[in-house]
Amino acid sequence: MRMATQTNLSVRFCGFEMANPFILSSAPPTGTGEMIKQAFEAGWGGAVTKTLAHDRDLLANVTPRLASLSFAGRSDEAKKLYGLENIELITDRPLDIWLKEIGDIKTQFPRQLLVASIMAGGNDRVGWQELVRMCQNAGADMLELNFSCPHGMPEKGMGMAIGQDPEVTARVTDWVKSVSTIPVIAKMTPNIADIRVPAKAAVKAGADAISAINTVAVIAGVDLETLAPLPNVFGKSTHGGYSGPAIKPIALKAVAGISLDLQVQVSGIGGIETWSDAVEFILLGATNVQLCTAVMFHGFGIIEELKDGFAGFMEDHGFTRIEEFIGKSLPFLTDHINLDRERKMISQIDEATCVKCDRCVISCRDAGYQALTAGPDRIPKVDRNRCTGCSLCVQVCPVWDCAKLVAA
Amino acid sequence: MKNADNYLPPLMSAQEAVVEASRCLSCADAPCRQGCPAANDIVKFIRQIAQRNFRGAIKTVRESNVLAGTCALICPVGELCEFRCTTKLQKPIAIGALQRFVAEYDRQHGMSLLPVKEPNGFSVGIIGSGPAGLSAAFELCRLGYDVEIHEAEDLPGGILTYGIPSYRLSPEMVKDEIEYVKAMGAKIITGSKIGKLAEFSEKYDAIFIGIGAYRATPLCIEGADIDGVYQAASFLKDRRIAELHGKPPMINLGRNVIVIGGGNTAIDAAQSARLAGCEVEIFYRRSENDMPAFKSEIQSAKKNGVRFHFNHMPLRFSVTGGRLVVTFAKTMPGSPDDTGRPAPIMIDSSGEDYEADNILLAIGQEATFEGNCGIATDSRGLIIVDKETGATSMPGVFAGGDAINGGATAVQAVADGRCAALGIDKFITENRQSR
Repeated sequence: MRMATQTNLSVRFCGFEMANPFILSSAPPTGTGEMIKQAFEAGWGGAVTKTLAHDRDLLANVTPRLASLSFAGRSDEAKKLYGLENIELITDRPLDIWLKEIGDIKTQFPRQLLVASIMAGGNDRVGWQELVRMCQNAGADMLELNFSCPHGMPEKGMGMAIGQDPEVTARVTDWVKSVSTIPVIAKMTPNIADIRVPAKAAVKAGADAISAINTVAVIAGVDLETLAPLPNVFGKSTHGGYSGPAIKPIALKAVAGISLDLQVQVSGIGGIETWSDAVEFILLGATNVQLCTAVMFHGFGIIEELKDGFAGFMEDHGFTRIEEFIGKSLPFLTDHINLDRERKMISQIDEATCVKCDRCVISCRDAGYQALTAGPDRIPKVDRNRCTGCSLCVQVCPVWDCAKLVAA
Repeated sequence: MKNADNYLPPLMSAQEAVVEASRCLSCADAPCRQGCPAANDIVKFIRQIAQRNFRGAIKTVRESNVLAGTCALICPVGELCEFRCTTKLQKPIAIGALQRFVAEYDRQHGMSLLPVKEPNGFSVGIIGSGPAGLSAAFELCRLGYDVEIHEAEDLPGGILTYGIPSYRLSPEMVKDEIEYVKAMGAKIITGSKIGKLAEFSEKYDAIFIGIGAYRATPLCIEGADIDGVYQAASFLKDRRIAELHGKPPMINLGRNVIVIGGGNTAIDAAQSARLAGCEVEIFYRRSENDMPAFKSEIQSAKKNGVRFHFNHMPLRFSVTGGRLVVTFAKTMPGSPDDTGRPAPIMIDSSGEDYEADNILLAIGQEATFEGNCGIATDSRGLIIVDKETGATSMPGVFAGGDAINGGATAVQAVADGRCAALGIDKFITENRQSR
């Protein structure tokens, strides 16, 4: 029997002791104070408001605002999402209402982390500083500077337009830091050659933490009947921001890169759906994680499974505090030149579990090294001299642990 | 013996479980959960499987059902959770098989105990260690109570140990889940028959009665006491005792067996006799649709070669030339009786003779509690309880399971045990305040 354990999921972020590392990112699930309260009630450790701005900077939303890349599945399966594109804008609610809600939330939930996401123009010093003062006076625990919204706002010199220019990023961060009394997080865009450059500029200008990544600029697809790209807004379309499982690897690399290069706490964002995704971000340097798309599909209630699975991981590895494994996978990372070129592995197919589809044979024949052949029994045989251990067979095999690499 | 393996499908692999779980739509206010007497949080445990958090998944199930593995094997899922699955798009999720997968995973990896509260200094005595008693004990242990279960038989488990055949319920699973309840803190005292309830109840702050419904409803027709006519429940118990102790059974059936009845005991007895190599026929006085047995079990029995005769009512038993003879009258459905089903009306009373070597009677169970002194019961001896709390007519005495419903599902008994445990906690908390 395994004794029941109470795993400590708390983690310290910019001096704030969070009950757990799960934060709702600045997005539709944090669209109102009431929604944030519901999420805190459900057990979320923190929330970043949908981005606040001066009423003069607000832009009306359009319909529709979403498109997705999904896998249709078999006839007996539900459709499954890879990624979600949105052209949703920042909040469309007046600032004074938001400020009142921030105070309300903090009175009711003093122990949950409430971050106010804010945005103003790259030249608007007064605008930024007013937002900072108003939000910290309202009771926000921290500020997140939205340098990264990829659609709509950049055309007005806001959002990603700032995050793509390290000079502007540093300038705005400096304005904010000169008046802020609470920690400041700078949120980075992945739509740039090297995300570490603006992250470094923000940290040098005084940012207390970095959050990464915002959505990836994309076109989700084209409607083959109307020939209009998606989403189709009355005959016109525009690029949007891509989120969901598809962007997780992009985000993991961004978080790892920032963590390796800069002495700064990172809030990891991008395609996190499950407890194991969250663990991966933390292993690569994040102190906490932010989620949105998974909540858009399954609701606030997923916090239960996130916390439970995360605690199970900690229990299995004997970790008592999250701090013990933040960045624990970073030392494994090195430049390609430093990888071991001496040792080799080759393919091995488990005959007992092989389903004889021979997909690996086709892949190896046409995209590999012609090392696999199927005999009359349809079980692939490995030519040890031809196999270079690329692992394509492992990737295409539909069965868990059937094709694998073993020492050559 | 026929091979018993084909009665249970093979256990899912981890990959099969994750793929199956990934099909779940995670419906809001999920209909599957509404179909579960124990209100198992099915969507949550299935999502945990999809995320490969198998230990989390079993803990989720045990939150509402301590006998997760047992119920996974014997629940009529096709009439409960899976029946309610949102199936417009796809075939129902294999909820029972997924629950069985995580329960087996748990057994193989060291069963995960749920947290218990600090001891609160109060004690509860439980009579009977079947599903209802085990469930009540588990819930009370979690709440910090000192729990003692008294079991009249040599081994704990009640119907799980002495009633349900091993071809459909793995005895190892039952044993491990009983150990689990003990590891949560419950003490089980076997061979402890309760004499007078009044004396017994003095030792505890509250009592839970989960004694099942073991008294066979008597069949009052000519020849019912002839040699070779057995109660199906006695036959099943004899089989289980023989298996448990590795001894030959006391009741040995001849080649041709007639089972009379239409409930799960009738089907279990018929299938067990079939496994022992007998030719088996079931006679039931109503139609197939009116059988109380689970549909899946009826189908399984048919598949395994049990022959069914519906609308046949026994008139008398006799012996002719050394063989047993049952005389049956044909019936037709009449107007609904107090069960809501059409009452069987005899068509002609002359009857038709069927020969057999043995006859197994499974026409119903009633409850009997010899130590009872004053608890209100109905005409079948079933204990009357308040549905919200499981409280009987006697303050501080609660009841659940077959003893209150006359024989439903194990999962219903689990739900009853949990409900009564919460009722007991409320009763004791309120009493303490008034003291």
